Amino acid sequence: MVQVLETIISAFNNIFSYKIRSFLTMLGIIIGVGAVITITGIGNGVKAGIFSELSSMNKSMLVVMTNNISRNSVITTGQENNDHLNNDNSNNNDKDKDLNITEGDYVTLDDSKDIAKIPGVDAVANISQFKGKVILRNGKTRRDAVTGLDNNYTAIDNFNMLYGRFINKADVDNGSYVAVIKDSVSMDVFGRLNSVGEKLEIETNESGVVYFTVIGVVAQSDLSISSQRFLENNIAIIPITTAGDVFLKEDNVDMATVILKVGTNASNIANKISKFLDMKHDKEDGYLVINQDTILDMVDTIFNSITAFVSFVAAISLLVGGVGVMNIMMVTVTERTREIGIKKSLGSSSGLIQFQFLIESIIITIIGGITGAILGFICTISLSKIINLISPLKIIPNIQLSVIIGVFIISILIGIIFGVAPARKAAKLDPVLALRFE
Amino acid sequence: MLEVKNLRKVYKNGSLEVEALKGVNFKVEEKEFVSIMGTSGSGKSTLMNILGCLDSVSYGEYILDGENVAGLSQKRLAEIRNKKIGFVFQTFNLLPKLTSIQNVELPMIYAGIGKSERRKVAEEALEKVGLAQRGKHKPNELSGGQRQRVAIARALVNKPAILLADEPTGNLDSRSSEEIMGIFQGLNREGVTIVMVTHEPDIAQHTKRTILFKDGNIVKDSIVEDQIIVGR
Repeated sequence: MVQVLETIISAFNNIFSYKIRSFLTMLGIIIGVGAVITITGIGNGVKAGIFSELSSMNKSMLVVMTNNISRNSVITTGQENNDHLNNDNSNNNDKDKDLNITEGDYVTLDDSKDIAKIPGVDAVANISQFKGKVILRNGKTRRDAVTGLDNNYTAIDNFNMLYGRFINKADVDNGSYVAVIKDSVSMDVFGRLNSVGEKLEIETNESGVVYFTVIGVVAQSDLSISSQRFLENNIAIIPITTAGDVFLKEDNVDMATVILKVGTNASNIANKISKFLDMKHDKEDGYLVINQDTILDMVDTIFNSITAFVSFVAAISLLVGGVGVMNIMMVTVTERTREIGIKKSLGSSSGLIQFQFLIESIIITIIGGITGAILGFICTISLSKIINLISPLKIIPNIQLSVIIGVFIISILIGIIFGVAPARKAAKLDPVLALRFE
Repeated sequence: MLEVKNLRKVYKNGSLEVEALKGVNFKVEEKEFVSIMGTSGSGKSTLMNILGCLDSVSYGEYILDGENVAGLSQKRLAEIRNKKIGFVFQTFNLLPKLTSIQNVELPMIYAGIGKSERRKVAEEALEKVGLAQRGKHKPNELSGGQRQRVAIARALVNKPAILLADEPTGNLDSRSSEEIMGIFQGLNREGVTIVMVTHEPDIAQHTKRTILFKDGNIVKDSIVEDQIIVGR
């Protein structure tokens, strides 16, 4: 025990008496461990960020829409929305013609009510988007998206209002002419943030000029990521029923977002909805039901493979670091040949000599591993802070304990694997020759 | 105490065989102080390495303290070096990064002795060689004679059966050499058995018995007459 303890102490002394050399030897391990931890930490963080956006309410969602669309015009803010100040006269009916959708193909408010009755369904939020034009304070006009939503949308994004309130059930039931607007629109149209109670004038192709009472103002930055994108070019959010009246769409909605109860089987319900709608409307595959879990699974798989691959590349630097440790240990053994000879002449066994060099290389890799873990931790936290500053996606840095423990064990293993050869070389030295070594 | 019987050592270099020791016989009794003399290449260093259990015996027997050393395992040999043999080298062979007292403690670490006991014994050993005040000094802060005295202290701490000294004064001036020989004689008077290799006749004159080597054989084994006693 005394021998082992003293050997460990002397190994530490040796490492610390050659500080720069020891640090350079560790560097490969430090970088390798740091890289693996940073990459997995950021990778998990991005994944967790995407997941929390996609499932911010911790509930599964299905998106139901007509299958009769050859290109996607609803979910993303299409390019047509970018011509803000244009006064083009195209209307939604034209759009429908382009897309080849007939009245009967749409999901209707009635469908949504039926879907809401399916067991496992928590709520259905209907969404439609149209175009309208507002007059800005500076005299210019802005033609952009007007979105019809219902009160169930709060299950997807809880809409932390800056002023006023979000659309409620009464607004939807009554088809009230009320609107929720974004902070930027409030500033552009009314010149102040709090425009609750004001009349918002929207010019539509379908119904001419329509007035809406502003009931709430929401900050773009307070929206969830998906809502931020979805409402990027929005000028007003109005009740879905009102939207049907104004834009002559009646009961039809662009899409219905189905929020499922916790613990339900999403693909099972997706099938049920699909079959139910086909039966009700006498269609075959007439409706598209997008299962969010499938998207999550895809994201999960993609991120896991990317993280695994990049970690593998980083792990190679660990291996290179290990070879560096072996190289230096070999040099150290040669340099200390005489010391080994002296120790042997004083009665140190070959086993103890071997242990001395092995423990030195293990200590080097352990210190390297710990330093690398700390470095990786700092890098993960600071990198995710930087990314969070410049990107709307919120990264939730996640360094798993298993990764740290794994990397730590790998560091020790590298110390052992790459320390054995130099240690054996030292142990095998002939004491007579070692004592003569200059 | 120590006996070699028909001891032979053959070095092989490819097909070339060199016989460094050609069947050596001698005995060293307890409390003897023996010098081994001979020119370079006479086989005295080879003999010293074998006596010190650093090198193996090719043929013959080497009995140390009642145990036949020839054919023992490496582990057992390390134990014998640690407990039964005290080494003093020409080049001192102190570890440069350790202080005097740490150097002296080293053999006791291998013997598994605890820290406080080690420190006590090491301090006593340093005091015995007159270096009680130099415990915290590193070898490069000491003179050659002082370094050799630290090495002697280190050789003694495990109370070895025999002290082996290989040209202990080879790197020292005559005054320091005299000091070292005085220490050896003092130790011998206290009962320590010493075998010392030297090529200097006046150093050998300090011992009680001289064995002369030539070409791997003993050519003379005689009691030293008119021994020089240091301090008288």
